[in-house]
Amino acid sequence: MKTFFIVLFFLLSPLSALSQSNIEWIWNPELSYSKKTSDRTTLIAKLSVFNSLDNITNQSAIQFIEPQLSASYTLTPRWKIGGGYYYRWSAPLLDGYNYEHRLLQQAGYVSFLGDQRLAHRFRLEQRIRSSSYQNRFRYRISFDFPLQGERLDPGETYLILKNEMMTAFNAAEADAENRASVGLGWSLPGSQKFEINLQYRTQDVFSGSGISHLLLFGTAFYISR
Amino acid sequence: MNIKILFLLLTIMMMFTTAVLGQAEKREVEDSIDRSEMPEKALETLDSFWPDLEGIRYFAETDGDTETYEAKLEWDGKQFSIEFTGRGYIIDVEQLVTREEISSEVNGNIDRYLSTEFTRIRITRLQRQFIADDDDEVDNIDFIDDILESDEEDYEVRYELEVEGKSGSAIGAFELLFDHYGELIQRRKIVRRSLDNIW
Repeated sequence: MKTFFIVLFFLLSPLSALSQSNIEWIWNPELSYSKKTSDRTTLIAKLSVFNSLDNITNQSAIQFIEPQLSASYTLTPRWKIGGGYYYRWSAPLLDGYNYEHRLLQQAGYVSFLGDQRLAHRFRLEQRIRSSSYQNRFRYRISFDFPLQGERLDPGETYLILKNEMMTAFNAAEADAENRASVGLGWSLPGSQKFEINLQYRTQDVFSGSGISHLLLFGTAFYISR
Repeated sequence: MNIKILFLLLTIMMMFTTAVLGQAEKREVEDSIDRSEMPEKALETLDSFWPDLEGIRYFAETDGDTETYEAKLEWDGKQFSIEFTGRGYIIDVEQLVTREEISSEVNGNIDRYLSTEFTRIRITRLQRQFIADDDDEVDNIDFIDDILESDEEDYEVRYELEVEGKSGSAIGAFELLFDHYGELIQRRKIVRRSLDNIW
């Protein structure tokens, strides 16, 4: 229980800083459904929405809606490869909305210590937007572990820490970004889970106009079959 | 789509999540517990052998019908896990070991099984199990004494391996249980949590 309150503190403490800065504040609800189609293959469908809490009362509240489809193939008990397609519908409530088609290829390595998991993910993206094109490379490290006992049972909580670095490397849009997050998850009956997380993004690292900051509060519900 | 409809959809999604959170079903649960929650007889046993040992961790496990307790400790450079009944009688003792600590005969038999059944194998965990007699009320002190004195006539030894590898069309992690000769008793695939939140 003590750990729970420590996590809660770290999740909520940036709220006090928010009122004193111009950091953008986002709520990102996600719904994910994954289906293991064989011992090696898994299909994942996900819906992700970006809501600007600074503009919650006007037409700019929804920054984008993003349906995602991806598949993975287990190469070894620890290595997986996969790919997917995302469609991003930006500013859907405004006239003249923009879109983005995103293709991705990724590889992941997961090591296990009991029910503690350390995962590395390497991802290449091609972002085809209505107005531009961007190539991006991302690396993410994730660590999650149960908070009650050594095994994660239904109804129990887990802590999840992530950090992701990415760089856009085509000449016109070269830039870099870092995303650090801490989250709390609940394992639910029937291979489902619910997570809340707080993510801090440092964006436009190489931009001439300076680094921008974004705080993202995420809620995610996962169903796996 | 207007903003009200979208937020209504998101609210329904959150309510659905809350409803699922409230569901209950019969299940096995393992929890970390305080020393004071252990059966008294189990604590007496632990205190007789390791009165001043620090860092002992305690766990309770239930399947809804029966409850067992476990103490995990490190002693003499070795990691032990002792499982007790709800009344504090020992069920078994597990000791984390390396391949070098097992006899060459047992190792040979295990290797023969692994090379026949698996490709690209990695052993991730190896435990020696000391199984108490079927007697419901084991003499805890005698049992641990026998283990510490390697008096093998008075208990049954098994070996539990956790491996990662490929076996036929199956790939992933497996738990393999061998008898004291290194002959397979039981094999099961370990079902791991979905990777969807870290993949």
